[in-house]
Amino acid sequence: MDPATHATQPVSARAGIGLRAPHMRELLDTRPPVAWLEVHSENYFAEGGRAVAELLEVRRDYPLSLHGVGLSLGSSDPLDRGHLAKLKRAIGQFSPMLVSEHLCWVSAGGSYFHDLLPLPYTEEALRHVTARIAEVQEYLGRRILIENVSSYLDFEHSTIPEWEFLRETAARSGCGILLDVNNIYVSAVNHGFDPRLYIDSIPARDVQEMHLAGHAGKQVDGVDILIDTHDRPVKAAVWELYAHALEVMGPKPTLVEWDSDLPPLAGLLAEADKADALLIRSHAVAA
Amino acid sequence: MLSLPELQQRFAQALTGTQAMELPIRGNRLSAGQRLQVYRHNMQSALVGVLRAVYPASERLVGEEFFGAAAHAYLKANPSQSGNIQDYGGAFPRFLDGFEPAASLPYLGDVAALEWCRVEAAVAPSHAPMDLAALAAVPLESQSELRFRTQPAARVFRSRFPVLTIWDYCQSVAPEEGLDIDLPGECVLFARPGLDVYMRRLTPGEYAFVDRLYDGRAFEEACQQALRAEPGFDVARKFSELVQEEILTGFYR
Repeated sequence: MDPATHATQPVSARAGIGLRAPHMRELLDTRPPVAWLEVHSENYFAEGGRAVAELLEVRRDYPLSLHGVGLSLGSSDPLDRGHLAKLKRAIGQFSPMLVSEHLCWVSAGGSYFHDLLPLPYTEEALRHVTARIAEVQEYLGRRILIENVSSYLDFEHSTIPEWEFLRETAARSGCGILLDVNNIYVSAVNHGFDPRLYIDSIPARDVQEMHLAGHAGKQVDGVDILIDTHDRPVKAAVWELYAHALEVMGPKPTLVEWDSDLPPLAGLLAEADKADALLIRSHAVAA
Repeated sequence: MLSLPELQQRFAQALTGTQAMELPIRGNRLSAGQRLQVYRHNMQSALVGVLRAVYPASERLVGEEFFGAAAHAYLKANPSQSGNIQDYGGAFPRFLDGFEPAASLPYLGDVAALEWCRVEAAVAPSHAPMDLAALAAVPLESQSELRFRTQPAARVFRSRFPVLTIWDYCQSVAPEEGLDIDLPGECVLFARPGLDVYMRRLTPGEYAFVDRLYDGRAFEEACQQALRAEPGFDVARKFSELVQEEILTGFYR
């Protein structure tokens, strides 16, 4: 199918997988029946070479989502116009059905930290990040989705609960929401809030995609915290929370992410099948 | 209350360890420092991971632990400047040249430079091959003045060490004992005719020829330099090879 036709199709509320380089060859050789794929946008910013050529081939058979990690939407540094131009080029090249980024900052003073740093949840930060998202959407000429991140700290001067901050970000900037259910769970445990309350506070119509991934428990000097590792299967508690999200919001395109200690492709697909089974059930209830 | 720019600036300084900073972080059983350490660890593993992915031969030469120490030292002095982590690490080869603990391996920096060239070649755009009909239409008397455009993925690298021999050695599953680093220096040509980069050694004449053409010098000058570096250099044959390999992709006067 022509890439351009995929782009105009409605996104099917089925399960997809995060496609990472070690699985690329096998995916192209076997063409497994998975509903859609998501890649990290920055991995395909190159002007030529194998990765770009292979993704173009993938794109002929699968709907695609471009998921960015480096735009640093919440940073008080100026927006990196070069980065944005490369994203726009990638969008033109791959015609993704969805484009997403994170509700966080990854740079300050021109240095990049390559980790998704939490914002203070204040009116000042909300105004800043919504203006930036609006600017990005205008430049790209399309709506983007914004994902809630896991966090391991919160700021004393935060005045707005994260779920309200996320909801307001979408309401004010017109962006969609990529609801990462695992991130909600990780942050809920780390900060002691009710993850169901978080989900119940987000308007279902704004949620265009969900994420699932594995996390790990870690002890820091005798204190347990959860780390968003993407290196193992989705935990039972996250599946339960996901089932709750589907109950409240109805079926949404859902992605299983796995970024390190990758299983064989079949293992990742099996994990997506579990999400798909819940989605199919959710479709049946909705019908 | 700290403004957003102030908070991010302080947080950044605390994260990169340049300054101990008071940050308005809720303790909640852990200290701000312990919480910050989670992020510092994530950042460092991501960047060290990129260096390991880009410089596997260099890592093989020095071992995992030594490489990790070199990478951490590099991180301190070279914060990432791009939201695309794949851009990170270009200055690592020259950093290794000055990295005191690696002083006994003077070729390490050049092996790393070879690896960075490979990465650059792997992601460069592809230009169409030379228009041979247009080239053939250039009158004989003007040919010596021609200058050439080169394939973005193709590049040359000269080292006073046998870098490609060392790199090949690092690729073998069980490297034989006794790598001879006293061999003469090597000039390497990188090309990417399809999707995969290949490297080959250039003779002194080839290097002089290609290097001048890359530099935008006229064909005649490149020929003279090549013949000076290597008497008997077969200009016609080498030129047509470079066109066929799509290393020379266009010309202008």
